Amino acid sequence: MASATEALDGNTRTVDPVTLEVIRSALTAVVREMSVTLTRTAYSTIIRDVHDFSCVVFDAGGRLIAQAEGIPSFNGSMSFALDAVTSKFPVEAMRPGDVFMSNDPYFAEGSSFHKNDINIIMPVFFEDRLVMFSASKAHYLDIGGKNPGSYAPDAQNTYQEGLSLPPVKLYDAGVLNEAVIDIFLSNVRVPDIERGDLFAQLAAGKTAEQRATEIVRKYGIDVVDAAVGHLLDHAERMVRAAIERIPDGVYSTAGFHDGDGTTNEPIPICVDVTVRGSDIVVDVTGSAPQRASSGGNGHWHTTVACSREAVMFLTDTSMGTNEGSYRPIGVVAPPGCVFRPVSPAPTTTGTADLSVRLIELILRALAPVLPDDVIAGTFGTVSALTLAGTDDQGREFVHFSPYAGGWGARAQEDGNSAMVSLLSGDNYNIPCEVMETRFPALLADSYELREGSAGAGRRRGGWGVSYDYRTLVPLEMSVALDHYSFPPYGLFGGGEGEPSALAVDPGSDAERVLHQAAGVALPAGTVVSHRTAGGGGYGNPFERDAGAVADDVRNELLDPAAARELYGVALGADGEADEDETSRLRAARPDKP
Amino acid sequence: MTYRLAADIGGTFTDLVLVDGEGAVRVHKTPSTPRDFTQGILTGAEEILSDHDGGNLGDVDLFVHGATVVLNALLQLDLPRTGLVTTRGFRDVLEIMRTNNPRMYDLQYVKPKPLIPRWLRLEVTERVRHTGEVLAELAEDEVREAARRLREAEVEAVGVCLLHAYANPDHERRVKEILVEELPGVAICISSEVAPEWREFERTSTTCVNAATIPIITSYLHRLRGQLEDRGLRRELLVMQSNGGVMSTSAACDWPARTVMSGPSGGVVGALALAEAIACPDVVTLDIGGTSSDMGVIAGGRAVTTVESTVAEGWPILAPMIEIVSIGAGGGSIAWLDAGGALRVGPQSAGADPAPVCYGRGGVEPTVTDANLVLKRLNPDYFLGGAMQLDVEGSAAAVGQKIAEPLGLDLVAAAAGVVQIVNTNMSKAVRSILIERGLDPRDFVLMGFGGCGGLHTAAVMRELNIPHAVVPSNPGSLSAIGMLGTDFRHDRSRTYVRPIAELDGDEVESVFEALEQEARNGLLGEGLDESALELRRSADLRYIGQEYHLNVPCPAAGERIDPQALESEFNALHERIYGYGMPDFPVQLVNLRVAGIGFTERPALPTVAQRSPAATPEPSSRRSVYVDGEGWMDTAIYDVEGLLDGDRLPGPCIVEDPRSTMLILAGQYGLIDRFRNLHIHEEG
Repeated sequence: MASATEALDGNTRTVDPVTLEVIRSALTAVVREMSVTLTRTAYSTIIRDVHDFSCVVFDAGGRLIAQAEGIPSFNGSMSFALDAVTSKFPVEAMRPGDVFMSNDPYFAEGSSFHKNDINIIMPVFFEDRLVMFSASKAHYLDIGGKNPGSYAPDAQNTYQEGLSLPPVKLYDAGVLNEAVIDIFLSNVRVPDIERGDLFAQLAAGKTAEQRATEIVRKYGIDVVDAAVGHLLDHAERMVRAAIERIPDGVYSTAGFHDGDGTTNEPIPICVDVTVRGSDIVVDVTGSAPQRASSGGNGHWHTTVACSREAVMFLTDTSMGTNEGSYRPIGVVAPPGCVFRPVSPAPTTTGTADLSVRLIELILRALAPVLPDDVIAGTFGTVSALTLAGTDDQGREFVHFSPYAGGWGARAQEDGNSAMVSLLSGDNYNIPCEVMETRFPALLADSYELREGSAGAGRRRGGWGVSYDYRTLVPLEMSVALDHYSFPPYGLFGGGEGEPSALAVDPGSDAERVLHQAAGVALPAGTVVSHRTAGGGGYGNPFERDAGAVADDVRNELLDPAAARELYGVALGADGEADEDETSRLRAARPDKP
Repeated sequence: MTYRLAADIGGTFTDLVLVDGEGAVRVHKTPSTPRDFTQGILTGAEEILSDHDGGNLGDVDLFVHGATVVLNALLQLDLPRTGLVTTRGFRDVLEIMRTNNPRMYDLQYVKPKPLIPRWLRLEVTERVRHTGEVLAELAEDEVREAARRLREAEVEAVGVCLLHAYANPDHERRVKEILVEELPGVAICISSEVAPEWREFERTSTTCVNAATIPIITSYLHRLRGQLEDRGLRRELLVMQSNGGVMSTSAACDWPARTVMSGPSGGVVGALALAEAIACPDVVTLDIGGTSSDMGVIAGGRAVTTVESTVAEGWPILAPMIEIVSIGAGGGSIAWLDAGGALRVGPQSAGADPAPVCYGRGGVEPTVTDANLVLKRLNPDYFLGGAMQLDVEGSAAAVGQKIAEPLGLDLVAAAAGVVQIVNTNMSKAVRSILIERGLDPRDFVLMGFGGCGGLHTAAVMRELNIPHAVVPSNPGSLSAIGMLGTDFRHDRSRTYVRPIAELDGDEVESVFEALEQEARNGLLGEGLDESALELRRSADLRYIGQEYHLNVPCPAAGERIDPQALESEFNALHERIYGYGMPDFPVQLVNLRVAGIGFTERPALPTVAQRSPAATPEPSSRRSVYVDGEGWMDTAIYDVEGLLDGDRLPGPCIVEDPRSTMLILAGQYGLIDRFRNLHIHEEG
């Protein structure tokens, strides 16, 4: 049919638009079912409660053809994991029942951007022919290394960050290589949980195999392959349509990352975004050289994935994304810079920080030409906190979780409050009741929106979150915050969000404030207050609807003095905005902000 | 003469079904009255009764209705002022939600506005641990202070959700006592009664949904009951629940959160009754309306249920309910081309206003119904039995200009594409509701109903390789018919986390007994007789360390629980659903559940005779119809009224009913059964 032939772009076989949609749906169903299986059968809170994983399928040629809604920063980098496998194990030699496992950030161009993320990759055969690959990437609570949770911003090299697995065969033609499991589980602090998670990833792969072979059986591999060609082309057109809305030009911006996990010396970063027609190139040349310590280093995968993610934020992706989505997007990063460090640079924590920074740099660079599409600065990275110790039955436990904070405001709406980072997508919090049941050595003292944290603006930022824990036994803590020295930025006159902080024993004489630290010993009875930043504001706060300001005051998120100072809004005794006094205040300071 | 009456209130039409003492069934359709739904019900009830030999409401023995007021109020966030009382430090749980962005590439995503604003979410000092141990006693003076502030704020309802109240409800019960004392006339509900299960956001959400909708359903049901009683109704007004049972008006006023899926669950219950009558234990239901399609599963003769669902894009409700998956695909779904040039159908719908182009009410966007008209599957002169003339040229122009021309297709190919894509969307949803439970579509009978069910069932069954489908007689009224055959349901559960190896049989028995007592009391309170009750026990189990659990039936009272049998049943179920079991891994009990069922008498379905002498029925007419995979074919048209038990209808053909149209494809044949249901089979 005409619509499909028009878009052939080198595909020699036509597929009618209807079959195309059916195959698209079927492939999407495969990755969704993988996700359901993984969630339902996993053992760790980080996989089953948080959903810190991604599931995808590739065609036999290694093209990414379907990915589940999940973690956007994983989605844009899954091809690297497959490429690392095929660089070591030729596709021609693969057999049914082979299963590959990997996490090495540096083998080939790397399998993962940090070692906690383990890939399970399985070739899918139909009638002895390799027709697809399934892959899942999931975060493991601990992968060994110097601190529990393997999430130390002060790690000085990749060896301190835990066990490295270049692509290895976990199963060889259906036969389990027990040595791999033995080596793996002997190097991690919570082996029982991680054995369960590994089985869950294998179960997800089995699910994919069953569903994918059904599709091939029904339509034949030639039709599926031809359909995949068209689906990739369609995804590419969707992205090109989005890029074409941007006027040609070079859009540049620069900023700083707060520190490298050992020092708080600012790390300069910058980006040039070049738009030509429907092509876009993200170039981070000029950013600082790689750092000695984990908190300062990104990773080539996240640099590519987050450049892609930033463009997807500007695109209609309701039909899903695939390899075709990425064709119009080029990424340039010189080896040895913080966005593309070389071995043995540590990467575990900083890669999560710098990836959000990169997305924000790109959105900020494009803000002048896409003012209705972008948002102001967000609270930043996943803001991970690790609390680990030994429970009353002598078992080691690790409580690790990403945290939520305030998102930036946009042209038409306030920023969202209490959402996970730009990296994390459809990730969930761990409910306090689940946390206390799983980790009886911890108590949640409070879990609240952070009053006063949102950046002011015609649209204000979202509120950050304050989560207070109380320890019931002695524990070891690691924390990796950002946006503590450089708060979330406002746009078009909007104010900055309140920066992040982690307070130990707040309000006491012994109060300490930390941002990036590992191996911190906490005695029993310590209170740890984890506070994420509020989002940046958008537009002049003096143009904000006075009733909306009064609502924030009534809701005890903004104090009346701040309403007056930041927004020029005065409140009457009934709590409603006093219109006359507000007009007077606003007229008296026409230069604001 | 006595009657049983059911009313199913949809967004556009209210469907009514009346069954008389001799089992004769009469169906009726009347416009809904969204501003005050009671008017449509009253009008419809009087019309259907007076059509029937001048009956009146005084002769009605049983009146069941599907209430949509709760769902509508939640969708429109039109809720009365409600307060929340919670543990100090946790008032923002409702607004923080689960912190995820469900649309991961959408920077413009807006989190749902909290059901209760922050200034009405008040904290009291108290703390309970997951074990039920009290860490801090309840500060009763703070509760009274909260009550004072809520009274000043003139709230109509208060939800109470304290941390870990599922493990120890004492503090919540005491808060309720104080609030009842301090806030007369205000609806109070506590989480340990509404949803005693862990996960604070989901439990708080359920509690707030329930509290905030109590004033809504109470005023609606009392108004409706008053008006019905004024017109002579003497019997209890019953309300359909999301779990497939009915409850009394007073129970519905306590548990409005359980009526959210009132209407769609009626469809599954109707399908269940029909499935029993035609001896099909495994059925997947597809209820196709104007804007959406609802799917449910009947496996082994029972409706598949879930214990959690989400309403209004974000508010979870923890309550057992019939599992219903809804997708935005129906007769009114709009066909469009996206920026990449792909043909898409839905989820936007033309609804009742502006409606499909062919209705001539000002719609301009081509819909599935327009495409069906272009393909001549719909008869423009016989819509609603001829009461409404359809605009064929309008449909053709819309499909032509918006779809065919930009795609470079001819009109018919474009219309066929629209219909096939909506069929695919439905097939995908039907398939996923089955496979997520490890069920194979080919083992199921597809039951297609609702106003648009008859047009799409044959194609969906073919796409899923389902060999047998059924379109019930009166497909648009199945939900209302279902409501007349429903049983009373009172479900109770308690979180009870224990390793299965350490189960204390006596303690489990006493928890089950307590739950059964609560369920029994609820049912007896509905006026049921002890002999009509059945109490079904079950347990949620998982491997220790897993989060998700599976529900395993337990032996009835009197038979002690056998941990080993329970464990092996769980292992087998895990194997079936996820493809592997781990018999060496320790298993844990999570929740104990009791489903209390009070059986009611089902109406007998009306039957038709066999053709005598046996013969092939004559089509009432023929016309050229576009048939999937074949193109235009001279096609037999049958009037449903002329069809009898055992009639075989070779495909392709169309069966017309004043309220719906049924299509059978080439390579399929239809069979009419004694209830005048249409069975569709693949030839050969």
